[in-house]
Amino acid sequence: MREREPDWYARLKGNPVREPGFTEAQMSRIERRAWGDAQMRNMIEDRRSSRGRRSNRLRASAAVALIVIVGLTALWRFGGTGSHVAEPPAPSQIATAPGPNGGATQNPQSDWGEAINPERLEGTLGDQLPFSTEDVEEITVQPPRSGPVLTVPKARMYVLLQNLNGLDLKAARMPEGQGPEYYMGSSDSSTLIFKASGKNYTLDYDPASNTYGIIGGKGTRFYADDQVWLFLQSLLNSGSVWADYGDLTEQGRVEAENSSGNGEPNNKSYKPDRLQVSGRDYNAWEQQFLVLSSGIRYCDSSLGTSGFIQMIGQGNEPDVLRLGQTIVFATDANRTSDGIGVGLTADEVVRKLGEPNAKTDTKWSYRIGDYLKFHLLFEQGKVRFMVLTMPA
Amino acid sequence: MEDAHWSYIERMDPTGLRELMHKYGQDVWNLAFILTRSRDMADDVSQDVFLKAYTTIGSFRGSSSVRTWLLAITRNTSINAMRTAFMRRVTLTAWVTDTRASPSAEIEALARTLSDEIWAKVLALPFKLREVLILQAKYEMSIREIADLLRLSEGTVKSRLARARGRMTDSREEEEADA
Repeated sequence: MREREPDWYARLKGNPVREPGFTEAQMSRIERRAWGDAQMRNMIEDRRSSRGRRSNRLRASAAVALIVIVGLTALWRFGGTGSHVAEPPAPSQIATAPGPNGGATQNPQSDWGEAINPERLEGTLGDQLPFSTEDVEEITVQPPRSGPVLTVPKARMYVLLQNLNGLDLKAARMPEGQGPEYYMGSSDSSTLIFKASGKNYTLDYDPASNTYGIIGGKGTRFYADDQVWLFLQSLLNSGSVWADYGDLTEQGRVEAENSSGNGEPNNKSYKPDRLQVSGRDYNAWEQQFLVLSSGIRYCDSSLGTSGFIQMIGQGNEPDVLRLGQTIVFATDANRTSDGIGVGLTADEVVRKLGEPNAKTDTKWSYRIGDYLKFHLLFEQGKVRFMVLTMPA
Repeated sequence: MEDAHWSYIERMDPTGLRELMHKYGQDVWNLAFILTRSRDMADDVSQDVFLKAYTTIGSFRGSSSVRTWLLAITRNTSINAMRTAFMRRVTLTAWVTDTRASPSAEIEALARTLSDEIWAKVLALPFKLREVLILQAKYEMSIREIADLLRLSEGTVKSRLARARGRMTDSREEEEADA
C-alpha cells in the first residue's frame, strides 16, 4: 500500500521554472542535429561503398593538378602573375578603410573571406554576426607567418562559436589606453576563418592579448574567454604546458561523455584538508595569484566575469597555472598532505589517497562535500596535472 | 503512440522524434534542470537525451515505460554533464540558496525564474536526496521503479526519501518559526 504523501508534494507536480524550458526552438534544433547526424552517417556509408572507385578518381585528380601546375609554371616563367594565384595575401597587404566603430576595417572581401566587423559596440556579437553559428560547417586557423592552415576539430568548434555568439561587446571591449590607439597589431596574430553556408568569414585573433579584432591589427578589440585561449594554445602552441593541459582536459571530457554514465559517483566525501595542496585550498591558492601583476586577460561573457590567465614559476616550466576558476599544478613542487602530486603512478595514488569518486582513463576526480573539486589528469599512467576547482 | 509501439521500432523517423519530444520533452527538461540546477545545462542535456533516444530506440525493448527510459537517460546524462561542466564553463554554482554575502547575478536570476519558492528548497538538497524525492513527488514513480532506475536497493531509496522529506520539513518549520 502506498504511504500517504505530504501535502507539499502537490506543489512539486508543476514545472520548476515559470517559463517552459523545452521550447519549439529547441525541438527544431534537436531535429536539425538528428538529421545532420543521419546525413553524416549516410556520407560515411557512401564513402565506404565508394572506396573501390576512389583510386580512379584520385588518378584523375592528379592528372588535372599536373596540368594546372604546368600551366602556372609557364605563366610565371613568361611574365605572368601565377606565383600569387594560389596564395592569399598576407594581412598587411590587405587594404583598410575607416570602419563604423572608429577603427580601421578590412576590405570586406579579402581572399580569406568577409571580415567580421560589428557595427554597434553593444549587445552580443552573436546578434551582429553575418552568419548563424549553427550554420558553420568548418573553422580553420591561418597561423602567423603563413604556416600551414589548421582545421578546428568539429567537436571543438563549440568553444569558439559559443564565445562569439555570447560575446558581450561592451564588457569584452579592450579598455581605452590599451585599445585602438595603442594596439599596434601582433606578429603572433592568427586568422580565424569560419565557413558557413558556402561563404568564408574572417576574424583576427591575437594569443598575446587573447583578443579578437579585424585583420590587420588595428581597430576595436575584444577579449576572448579563457576556454578559447586554452583551446587555441592547443592548436597554435603545441607542446607548451598550456597545450598539454588543454589536450588532457579535453581527452578527459570526451572520455567522460563517452562513458556509459550508469554508475553514480561513489558516496565517499573526502575531508577538505586531505585535498589541500601544500596546505592551501582553492581560495588560498587564488590569493597567491592576486599579488601577481601580469597575466593574460580573459572575459567570460556567459558568466559576466573577467580575470587573468596566470602562472607561478619559471618560463616554459611553470609550477602552478591559474585559468578561470581552476588552479593547475604542473610540477611536483606542490603536493597534498598524503604526498599526492605530479609524477605519481595511478597505483601510488590509490595507495595514498584511495579510489576517486569519478574516473576515466585520463581524469580522476575526488569529492569534497557535494562537489568534485580535486582532480588528477594522467598521461602515460602518471599524474601529469593536479587540479583544484572553485568551491561551490 | 502507445508505449508498446516504441519497443518494436528499429529506427525513428521525423514524426516519431517530434512526437516523443512533444510528449516527454518538458518532463526531460524539468528533470535535467532539477538535477543540474542550470537552465543551460538542462538545454544541453535534453538535446543529448533526445539525440540518444533517436539513435538508440532500437535498443528499447519495453521493460520499462518510454518515459522511465527517457528519465533514466536524462539522469545519467545530467551526471555526466555535471562531471564535465567545470571545464566547459556552462555553470559552476547554481545554488539558489547560496549564503554568500553577494551572490552572483546568475544565482539571483535563477532564483527569480522559479515558479514556486518550494523549488528553492528542493534545489538546495544534496543530489542523492534531490533525485529520489523528485522522482517520487513529481514523476510519481514507485519505490521499486526508482530503485530500478537508480540501480539501488529499495531500502536505500526509502532511506534517502525519508532523509529528503525530513530536510524539507525541517526547512519549512524553520521558515514558519522565522515568520
